[in-house]
Amino acid sequence: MPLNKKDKPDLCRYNHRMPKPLTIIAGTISVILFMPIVALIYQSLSFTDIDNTFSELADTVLVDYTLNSLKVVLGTLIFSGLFAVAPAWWCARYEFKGRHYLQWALVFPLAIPAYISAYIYTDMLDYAGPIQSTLREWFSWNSPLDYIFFDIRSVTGASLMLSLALSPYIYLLMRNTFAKQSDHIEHAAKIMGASSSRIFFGIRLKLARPALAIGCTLVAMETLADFGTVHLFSISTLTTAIYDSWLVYGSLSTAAKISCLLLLFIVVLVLFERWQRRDQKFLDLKGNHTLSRKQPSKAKLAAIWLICSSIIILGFVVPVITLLGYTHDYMAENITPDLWQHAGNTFYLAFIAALICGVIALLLNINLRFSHTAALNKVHQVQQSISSVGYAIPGTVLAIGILIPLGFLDIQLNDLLSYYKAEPIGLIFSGTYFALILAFVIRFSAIANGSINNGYEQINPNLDLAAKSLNSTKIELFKRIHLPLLHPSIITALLLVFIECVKELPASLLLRPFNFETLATYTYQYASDEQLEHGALAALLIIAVSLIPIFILSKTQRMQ
Amino acid sequence: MIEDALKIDRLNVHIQNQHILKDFSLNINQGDILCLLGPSGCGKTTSLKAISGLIPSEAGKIELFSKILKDGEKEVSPEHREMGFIFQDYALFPHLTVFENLAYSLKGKNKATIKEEVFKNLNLVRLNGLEKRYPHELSGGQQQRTAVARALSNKPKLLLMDEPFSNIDNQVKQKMIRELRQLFKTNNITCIFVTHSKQEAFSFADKTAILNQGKVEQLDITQRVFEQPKNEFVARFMEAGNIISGSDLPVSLFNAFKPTKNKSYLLQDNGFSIGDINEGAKGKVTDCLYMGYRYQLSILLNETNISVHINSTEPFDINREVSLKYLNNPVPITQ
Repeated sequence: MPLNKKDKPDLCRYNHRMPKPLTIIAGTISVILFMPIVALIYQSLSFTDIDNTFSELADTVLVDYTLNSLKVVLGTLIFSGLFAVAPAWWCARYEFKGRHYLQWALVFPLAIPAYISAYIYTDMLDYAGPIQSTLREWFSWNSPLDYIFFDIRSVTGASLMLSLALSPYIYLLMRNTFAKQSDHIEHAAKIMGASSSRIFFGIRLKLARPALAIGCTLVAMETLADFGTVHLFSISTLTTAIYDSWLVYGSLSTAAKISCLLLLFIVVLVLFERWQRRDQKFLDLKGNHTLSRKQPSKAKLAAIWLICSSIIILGFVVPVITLLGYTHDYMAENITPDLWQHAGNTFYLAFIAALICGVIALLLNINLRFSHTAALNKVHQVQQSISSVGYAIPGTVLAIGILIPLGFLDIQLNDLLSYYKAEPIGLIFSGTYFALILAFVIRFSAIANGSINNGYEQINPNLDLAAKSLNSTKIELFKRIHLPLLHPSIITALLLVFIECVKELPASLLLRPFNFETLATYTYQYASDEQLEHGALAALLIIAVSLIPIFILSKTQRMQ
Repeated sequence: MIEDALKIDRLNVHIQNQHILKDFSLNINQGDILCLLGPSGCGKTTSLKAISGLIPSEAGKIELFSKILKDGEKEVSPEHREMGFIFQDYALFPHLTVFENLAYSLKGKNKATIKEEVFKNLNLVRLNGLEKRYPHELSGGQQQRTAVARALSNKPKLLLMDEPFSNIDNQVKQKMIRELRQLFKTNNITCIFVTHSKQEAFSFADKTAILNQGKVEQLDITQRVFEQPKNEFVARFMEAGNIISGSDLPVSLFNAFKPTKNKSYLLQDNGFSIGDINEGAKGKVTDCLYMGYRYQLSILLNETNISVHINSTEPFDINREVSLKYLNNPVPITQ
């Protein structure tokens, strides 16, 4: 029986060279998500410094700004290392009552935005704050000249505040790495006479070096991207320079040039992280014999509880209790129609952005899953990587990268309308929610993508082949097999993006429409006006939402 | 019985610039169980996937019950090939019950028909009563039978199985093999399965094809493949016995056979007799291993070590001189 006409559509299945519509759509999305970087580079290179802002900055303060950025990064890394490595080791290595709760409570400070801690500790440690006032009263000091006190509005202070909020990144990565390390390597070293400290510093820590490097890269990137804390402390860094260039001097090209400089640091960090990841597989000595947990001595147990509780109290309990106190004391100022309106705005925008990110991530991953040639697979992998670049871009830089093309589009559209004698419609791209949603989507697509990609990796590829051998079409396969199995990953992706959007500050500050606030900008406005008491409930709302992924992570790890 | 139910002619597959299947050809009859046997990386699983159309193949022709499934670059898609595929890990849909797994390919039919067909297949593999369970609630053997029933629900003309017994404990493997073979034979199911274990080939297959670097070296009745290997590769892979050049074989080893010097021969391990008498070829025991009711001896004969299986109650001393006789006619082997 020869091949009949009915079979014809299937005959050349593996031989077509035309890209499929899904590939074209995914490619277009990747280009849109990569657009801010192209716009920044184009703007920096093609426009001369008409207003001399950049050259003036470069001649005067740019070096200081850069040095300040690097100093804050260095300080944050040192403090984060101090706050994270020892607790990670203790929680992975020792078994004691309450360990399970302690190990998750150490992640809670991640839910507190650094600028909120910064405000609260400034209020507490300032000259007029309760601590200095009490000290002056106790020791009968009359003026600042009578004593030396730590100035929180400094590079060290900013580093401390940032490290309280960011050290959980290093803690989580290190704890997981320590927990996976085999005992055999330690036993071998012990038999050869190595001391405990030599085993820790010479073997355990060295084997965990890639995780430490990845954690440090994350912290460094978040620190470089920080705007709220450094702005609150009046420390001029590259992010504040970008903000000022655009909002104070109105120079988009200067903002773009500084953004490119900041991007350069980010690229170096990403390359460093990739390089460290390359080493990870060689140092990953997990075997069947995982680390067995020891009982700590009484003295050690006391030290563990003292140090870990201090970190939790400073990083989480004090800010939350202070905010609860503010809310209680200033109830009327906190519970206002404005708050609910801004909360509604925030949740609405975050919901839309999460949905879009979810759809994009699904599209990119379906495309990758259904690539049936190695070449196409490569193309789809590149599309995914490009789409995830936004996560590494600091919010301030991203905002400038979005303003450039959207501003251009608005001008062109209004010019066109004027040409046809129509009424100009104003800044419908750069001056509306559109810009903000686009920023959220570009910045957080990587999170949704990662979650759904991870979900797809859990689905055995043989299920696809089995479905195919049972007469299933691709659409049926997706509907009946992939979608039900991806369900938890999709929910996680939507939730994580939603939460990140609620927390996002720098891009929201630059891109929000006139007279529009998100919970983050609303809280930050109060903090920068030194009136956080009135925005305490909004801050608590942000913290409550931020705690959700920590509970998800805790539940997932317990299930594993 | 239909002869040549499946005909594969010079199928070629490249994966990432590697030539995995090279002019792969074979024919099997209706109701036959064929084993594709070969070392790791020889292309066993690839051949199954290429036959089913799950991976693209280049030149070649596939015909199943006279229907052309592939001819050169033109090919029928997997869902239209009327083949069932059972994966090494069974690939049962984890979020669907046994019933739903079996009903997966029955879409479009009315509920009563689906129920009837699913229960018919459940009955076939003796899984009645387990239809509401999820795959993770089944034992390895039950999962395998679910996979078989699911593949059969599609009424395939050919069943392809990728290492079907690799996830089953040795203790229950033989029982499973017997049950599955009986099921296939009763229902006249044509099947190709892949394994790297010759024991599975012996117990389950009617015929065995030995694969080497993507090519079929020999396809025959399993017993014949083992006892009369076509070439040295097949003989060595099947561990059929000693392969010795004719020039190393003394005439005194045989009763009436004269080896040709430029040929190689297969001498089965258990085809020898040992005595202290002066009859036969003289050799020296260099090693003696207890194998359960018998001993495996290494005997140095004309500077060639020969492996010999001997039933004995006592071990043999090392360096003991023995007289060796091969009782059968050796099988000539091509290189």
